Amino acid sequence: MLPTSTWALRKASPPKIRPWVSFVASYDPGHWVCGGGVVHVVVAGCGSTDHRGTLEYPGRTVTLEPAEGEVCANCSMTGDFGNCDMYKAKLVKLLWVLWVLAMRVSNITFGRAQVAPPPLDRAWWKMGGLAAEKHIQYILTVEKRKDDFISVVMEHLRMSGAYWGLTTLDLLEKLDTVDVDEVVSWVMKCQHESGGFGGNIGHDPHILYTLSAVQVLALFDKLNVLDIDKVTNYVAGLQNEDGSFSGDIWGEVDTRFSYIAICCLSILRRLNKINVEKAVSYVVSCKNLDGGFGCTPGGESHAGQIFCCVAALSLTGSLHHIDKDLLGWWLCERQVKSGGLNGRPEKLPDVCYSWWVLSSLIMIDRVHWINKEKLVKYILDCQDTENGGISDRPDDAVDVYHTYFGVAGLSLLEYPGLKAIDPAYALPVDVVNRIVFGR
Amino acid sequence: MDLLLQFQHILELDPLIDEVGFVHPTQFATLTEDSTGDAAISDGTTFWCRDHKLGVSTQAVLPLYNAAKRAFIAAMEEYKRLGDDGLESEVMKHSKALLLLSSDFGTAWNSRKLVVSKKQQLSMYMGELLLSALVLSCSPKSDQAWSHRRWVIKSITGKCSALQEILGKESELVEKIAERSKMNYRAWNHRCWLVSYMTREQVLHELKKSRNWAGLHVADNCCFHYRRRLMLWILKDSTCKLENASPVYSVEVSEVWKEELDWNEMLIKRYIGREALWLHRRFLSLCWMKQFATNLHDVSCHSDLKISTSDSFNSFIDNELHLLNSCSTLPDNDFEDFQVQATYSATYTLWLTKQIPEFWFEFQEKLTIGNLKTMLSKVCPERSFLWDSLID
Repeated sequence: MLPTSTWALRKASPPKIRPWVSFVASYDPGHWVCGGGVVHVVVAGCGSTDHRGTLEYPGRTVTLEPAEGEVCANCSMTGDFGNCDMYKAKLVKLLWVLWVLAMRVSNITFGRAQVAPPPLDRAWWKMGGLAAEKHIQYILTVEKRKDDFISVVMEHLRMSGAYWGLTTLDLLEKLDTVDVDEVVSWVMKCQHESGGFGGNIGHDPHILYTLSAVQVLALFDKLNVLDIDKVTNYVAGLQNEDGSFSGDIWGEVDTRFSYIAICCLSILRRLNKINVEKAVSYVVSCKNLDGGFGCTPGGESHAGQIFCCVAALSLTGSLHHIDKDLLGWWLCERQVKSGGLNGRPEKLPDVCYSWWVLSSLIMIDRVHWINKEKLVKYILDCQDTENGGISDRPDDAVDVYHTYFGVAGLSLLEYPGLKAIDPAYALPVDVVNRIVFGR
Repeated sequence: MDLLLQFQHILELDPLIDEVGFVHPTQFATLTEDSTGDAAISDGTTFWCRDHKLGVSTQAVLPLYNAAKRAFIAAMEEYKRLGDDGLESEVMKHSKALLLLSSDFGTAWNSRKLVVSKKQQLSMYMGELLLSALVLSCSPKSDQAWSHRRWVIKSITGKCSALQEILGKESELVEKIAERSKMNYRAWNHRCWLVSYMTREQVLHELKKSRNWAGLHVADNCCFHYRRRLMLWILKDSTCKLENASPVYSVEVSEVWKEELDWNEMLIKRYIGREALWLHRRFLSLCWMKQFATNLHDVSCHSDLKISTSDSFNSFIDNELHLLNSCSTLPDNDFEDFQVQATYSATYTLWLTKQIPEFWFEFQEKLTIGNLKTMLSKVCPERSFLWDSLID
């Protein structure tokens, strides 16, 4: 069984101020794109609340509270200082110091981000809860299974399979059961001379599998085995004149690829190697009147595409392009009677949308518009409690993809015993802290 | 005989095969019985082919896949090493077999793109459309197969005089596949993508043609979205032309909108509680008010036009309120549909007032918003979080 103390620990450790706003990029007074890196500057007033939560507690309501008799304000700055031109970086840092000094002098204190208690009661515990051990076993056996039809027809996307399975294990705090060297050497064998990765050894490179490979290496803290410039050149080379991204040399364009490029280069800290402004304006051009996003301009809104577009805008500090009430409304209408979420109107619910819809709602601060308890119950109902794994709907056949999205959804819902996951990077929060913020 | 050879032999014997499917061994027996000996090609256990339909036993799929994959990889390696023209046919043959068994095997699609783009023959490009259609017959959601078609169309644009005809056929293919595979996002996304290559006449034709289909599939949001895409295209096209043309054009477009609004209302009343219909109405009303009602307000020189617009605006509001009222009366029975219909109509009204603040007052005058909240909390308590945030 999972140690219950994890929950207590998470609750006890006070959240740090910086992470609160680190992925809240669109707050006034906005952000600056500075030299190489994108720098977000955020000022939040006294008593202001935010439903996105902190990096450690995504989705939880956070309030900035002053100590008694004090006025408080909080300014936070995050971003990739690594590659921006030194002069500008110094200027930004100087401004930051001045801001801090000004607050000190005027006797304004930094408020502490107070994280609200988990919104869910513990009733689901009594229903048997998450069969974590079974899911771990399931993933470990799927990984070894190589000769039945299902695993064989999936072999062209094994890299994504590896990302789904390994991230699930990490969220369940069991990544140490995997042989790191074996995984890393296999991942590196999938790299093509162009710098991109294929879905398996000998397969053509594609941006989809390049992100999965980078994410897997990030999980194991092994990004140092990469020739970062080579991967960066591959991804940056796929940007088109209009700012969009192709999936590979054959030129299919999709907003999924925009997200992948932006996420991949953010992890590699090379966002400055693409034209961010054009990339953002392409994503915005795919927005529909219902507030959602499609694959290309004029494409139908789909929760998966919405996740990609919202996360791409979030990672580039451009969430102000989104009408949050409008999109939030569309997203919360995805919740059906059973508590599950669908990806489009009139469709059946599916566990994978627990990730796509929920993470989007968190990023735009509208997650309080859905019923979280019912969603938790729906995901738990989709478990195979005997053999492990999670399916799309109750009583269907399980697979790694839905197991990952089920567990990731539960993590966003703050289910006890799970590591927190970042809604934009789709990686555990501690991994994001390590690679993006260098701690 | 070798399984893969046998499979490829059948594919060569009948180049017109337009449908492939996997058949369970037990179904196989009935198939063989039915096909009383005549034109069917069958070995009784693995393959069955008649009327250009090919069935493959599910038991044979795994060994067949493995053989096809081995053959494909070997052919591709040879081809890359020697770059020999003679090896191209091997690559094409084996990738075809492989893709029929595993439709999203991207590397196999890519190998075909490589060979075809080297040859630059129109007939080969057309052949790719055929193969992709065959793959879609058994895997209608295959992302790669749809993407391959877009690659073909992009490649032949400017080189082929029959492009408009091809676009028409593409559109028909989507409709055919959508008939069997409901709410197929990939298929409809392809159709939406085609629009940017169409002429105004084609767009108008598509709008006319898809109406019938949409009326028969009222829960399929994809088709309604396709119509939205077409309508926005017409709107944009007209506003571009309006700059140096007469306002007659805009009247024509407003007619398209008016007709769609009336048709949608008829469907809403006929099919109770369909989400896709109400979402379509949100779009129609939003555009109607933004484009026609407000736009024409500005045309101060056409005073007669303005009066008629303000009239039509008032009658629009009245009509929507009337629709809301007729949909919110819950009959004295337990049919859930009416409750759902009441929720959708109230949500629709609320959505519209939020999107178009300048019309908020008009609504407010004729409808107490408080009532709307009471009603929503009653018919749709599960979304109370949303109502509480939206209606203060």
